Amino acid sequence: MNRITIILFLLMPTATLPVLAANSPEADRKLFQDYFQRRFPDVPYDDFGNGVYAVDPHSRTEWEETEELPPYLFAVERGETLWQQQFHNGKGYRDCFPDGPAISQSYPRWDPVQGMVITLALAVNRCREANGETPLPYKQGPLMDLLSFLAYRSRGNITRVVIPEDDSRALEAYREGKRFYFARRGQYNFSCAHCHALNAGKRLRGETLSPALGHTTGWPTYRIKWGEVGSLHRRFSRCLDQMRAKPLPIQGREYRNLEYFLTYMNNGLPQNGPSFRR
Amino acid sequence: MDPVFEDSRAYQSGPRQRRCLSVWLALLVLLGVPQTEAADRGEVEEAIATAIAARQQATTVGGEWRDTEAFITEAQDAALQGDYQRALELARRAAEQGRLGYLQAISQKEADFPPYFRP
Repeated sequence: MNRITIILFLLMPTATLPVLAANSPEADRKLFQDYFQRRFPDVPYDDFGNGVYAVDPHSRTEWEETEELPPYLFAVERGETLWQQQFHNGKGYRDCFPDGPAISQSYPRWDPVQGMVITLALAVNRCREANGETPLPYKQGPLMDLLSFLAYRSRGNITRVVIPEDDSRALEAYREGKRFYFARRGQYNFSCAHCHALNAGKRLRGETLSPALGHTTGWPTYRIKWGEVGSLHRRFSRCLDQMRAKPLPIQGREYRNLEYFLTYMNNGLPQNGPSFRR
Repeated sequence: MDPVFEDSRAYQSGPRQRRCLSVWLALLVLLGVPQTEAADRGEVEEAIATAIAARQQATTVGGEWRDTEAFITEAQDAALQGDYQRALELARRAAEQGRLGYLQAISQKEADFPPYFRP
């Protein structure tokens, strides 16, 4: 009897391993990406980064024509000028981002010192503040220009967001983002997944709903509706508004963790920002 | 006379009965309806306070809905203008949204991949 107990005790860790793996971010990513590849078997993997244009041939034609002279190029040019400018103390963005400017694929990232998710927008403003400059507004303007330039130079780099295994806070931030993504909210009682997973590719009024696979690769984005380049967090706010839920602060904890989860789900896709959307 | 016919005649209303009915209807409109639907200031203040509390409770769990705050502001404005009936309706709507938003957020605390993600 004792021998059986000992054998069972020794086997316990191996029995629990598959359970742990099933709940891991990597298992989630596989589940997420497999779902969209099953739903849209004719869409090449890398093409998911083109959002709705990967699944809607009618709007794709129009988009391809726009991409011949895309409106976001002006933001890229302004962003390049900003990247090369020096701060008042003689330093510049290059000092904060020595691997730059092609760094978009590694954000958001976990900051173990602050114990929080750092988006690229937040990292840029931290750089400015560390060098005695005022932070830039998050919704629009010069920060979007600079991020457009960084995204443009990051094109083709594979998205590789890391969730450190040695810091449980990082995993909890990821899980909070995941809960946010799948939670029903607002008066319409929708979750993000209702539109962009369950009903992806279907029509909603005059628009086709884009698949969530590819949602993070092309930011910042020039939207006709905005008439300018804007951020992923700005889009999050609009989504919540459309669900009739109260939008949350841009660059607040909820959106940063949501971006952490959603970008991890897109790991493996090439960066293709800035992009153009209707 | 056919008893049935005679009986039915008893229910036919003449000019006097019609006048009586009109008076009763007028009384109902003038007295009855306002007594059941009119809102007073105290009732409105209580409803707005309830709505504010419900909204705050929803906010604590990240469950606030888009229009709740606007309904409360509109209710306060209507109350200031003396439109207590409208203020009461808006405050009650806001309170209901706060209550439902809170319950919704609580019910979604363990949200995860839905079953349709699995093959």
